[in-house]
Amino acid sequence: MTPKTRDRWLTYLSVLVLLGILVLAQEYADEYQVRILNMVAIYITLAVSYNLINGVTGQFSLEPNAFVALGAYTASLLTLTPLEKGMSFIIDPCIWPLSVISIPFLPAVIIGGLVAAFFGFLMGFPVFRVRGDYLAIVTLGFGEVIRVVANNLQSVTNGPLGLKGIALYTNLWWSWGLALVTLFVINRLVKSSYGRALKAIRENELAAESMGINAFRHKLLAFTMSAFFEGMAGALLAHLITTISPMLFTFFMTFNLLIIITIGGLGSITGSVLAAIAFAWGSELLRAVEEPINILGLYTIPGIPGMRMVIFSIILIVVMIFARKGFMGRREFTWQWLFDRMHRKGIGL
Amino acid sequence: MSLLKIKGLTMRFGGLLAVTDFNLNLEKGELVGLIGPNGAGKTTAFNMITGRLKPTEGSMIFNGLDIDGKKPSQINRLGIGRTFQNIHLLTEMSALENVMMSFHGRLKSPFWAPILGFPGYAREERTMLKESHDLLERVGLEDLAQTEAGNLAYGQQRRLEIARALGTHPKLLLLDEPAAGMNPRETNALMELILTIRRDFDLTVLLIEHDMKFVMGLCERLVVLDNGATIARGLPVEIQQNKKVITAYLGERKSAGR
Ligand SMILES: Nc1ncnc2c1ncn2[C@@H]1O[C@H](COP(=O)(O)OP(=O)(O)OP(=O)(O)O)[C@@H](O)[C@H]1O
Ligand SMILES: [Mg+2]
Repeated sequence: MTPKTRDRWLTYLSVLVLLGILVLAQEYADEYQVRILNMVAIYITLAVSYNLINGVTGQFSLEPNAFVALGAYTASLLTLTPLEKGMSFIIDPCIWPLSVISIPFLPAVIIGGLVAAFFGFLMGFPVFRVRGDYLAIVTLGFGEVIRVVANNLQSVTNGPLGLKGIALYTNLWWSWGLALVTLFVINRLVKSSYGRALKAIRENELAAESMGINAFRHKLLAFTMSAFFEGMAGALLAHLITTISPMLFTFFMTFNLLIIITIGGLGSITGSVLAAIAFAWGSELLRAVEEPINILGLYTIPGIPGMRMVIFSIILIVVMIFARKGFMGRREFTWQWLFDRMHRKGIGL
Repeated sequence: MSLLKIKGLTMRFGGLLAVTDFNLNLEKGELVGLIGPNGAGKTTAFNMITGRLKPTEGSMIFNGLDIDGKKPSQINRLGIGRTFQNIHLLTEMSALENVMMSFHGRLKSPFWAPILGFPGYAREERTMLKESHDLLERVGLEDLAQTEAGNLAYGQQRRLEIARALGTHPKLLLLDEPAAGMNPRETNALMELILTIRRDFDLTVLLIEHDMKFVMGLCERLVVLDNGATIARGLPVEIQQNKKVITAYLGERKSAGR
């Protein structure tokens, strides 16, 4: 057996183990644990797709919250029944044809992704034509615009009231299914000639262009693809928490993802996965620090909302000081690496 | 029909005329040298031909096509390959990946082909891999295929840039100071290499070089720039005797205090 086939089987095997864990979780885990597992998967999807444009292609952008919002709103408006829309939209009635449409979950998720990708394409087109730091500024603005529009386009988004009563369709199969598909697609892309072209653009755009690589098209490809997966993740998120409003999609969401991909290592897919797991889990564990803490029944320290963000920011700063390129740098976890480590430690195989 | 026809090419940077009224006709298969003192505008001329700089004035017809205003990647795909004076390799990628990269512009498979595992893409990747190894072997870097480009010695990096330019299947190859930083033995090997690749790949070559022995020994004719203006053109023996050229170079020596 060549190392390559061995590694492939090991990957299949670990996916199988993951599915086993999900079956068990579905059976025995409580609602809270299932929710964390769902969030972990959604964060993996988001981080890996955000990393494609920010890390692999090296184009610093700040928009995932916008694409997540687009996917979440699109899919929710498509799955909500006309009756539910009639009840929610109390200020302005929902516009036709949205008011009468109701489609199944799967096409709604895909359309959510496509709408996000469409906007990604439209935005990327002018932005990637100009060089420099425009991308960060334009995408940051775009996130805000989407939120403001969501707040004001009463007859489509129901404004600040948001959408309620979204069906709880997202379960472990959906969330982990999307995470695995995202990983599969982006990993294959990054390992192909296209991925090498994206990295070449990150490293030296001038060299890449002089070798016949159209930097503009490749950036647009990476950006649109990350928008597509972020939109679908947004659709799943909406059908997990069942209530969405513009408040949910602030820059904070992007900031969290930025922390994840930076800590994981910009450009490392496995780094993003590990950091996403740590983050989603960690933010649940750290929920305690935002609640009032009672010390020996004597004092009560009042809860400080936002404390978790402070902690994550400190972790980010520490990581940046001691490991400037993040946890994984640009390296990837490979089975070969694992074998080499075990070998060195004297664990035979 | 000439392969490259340049007329009245001019580049102005603010008040500085880096290149003025540059004219050049390259016939297929020629090996021409572009020389001149530091700051003469040689690299600027290359940058205009390869689309990195937009000329202030002038026209450039390559292979019957107007290339003025085209992007560097388009011009490359039309058949102009180049190397850089201040080496631009993908330093964190292996030598092999650097060369493989140069096939990407001609890739036929769309991006979803590798994702869906189409056999057409796998075939292209195999061809790419094989041809890249062949090119590395040609420039004498086969043993260093897996070495990071940034860790190669200076002369090796220059040769890797040539291999990479060849990977884009150019008709015209522009070499910007290919011998810079090489020792005499490497320089001789480089002359040999340029002659063989020209023959085997059916190339037309335009090169910039300061090493006079190299230029005189290799090029069939020369164009001399000084302060952006073309001050001489002709056979190497003619250029060696040319008063204007000698003064231009002497002037440079004096002002540079060498
Ligand atoms: N992008 C630019 N902006 C402004 N000035 C430039 C630019 N590129 C080159 N120049 C100037 O144009 C002139 C010609 O430069 P160029 O690099 O073409 O010279 P060269 O003949 O290649 O010299 P060398 O032999 O030193 O490489 C120089 O005075 C240089 O400072
Ligand atoms: Mg130069």
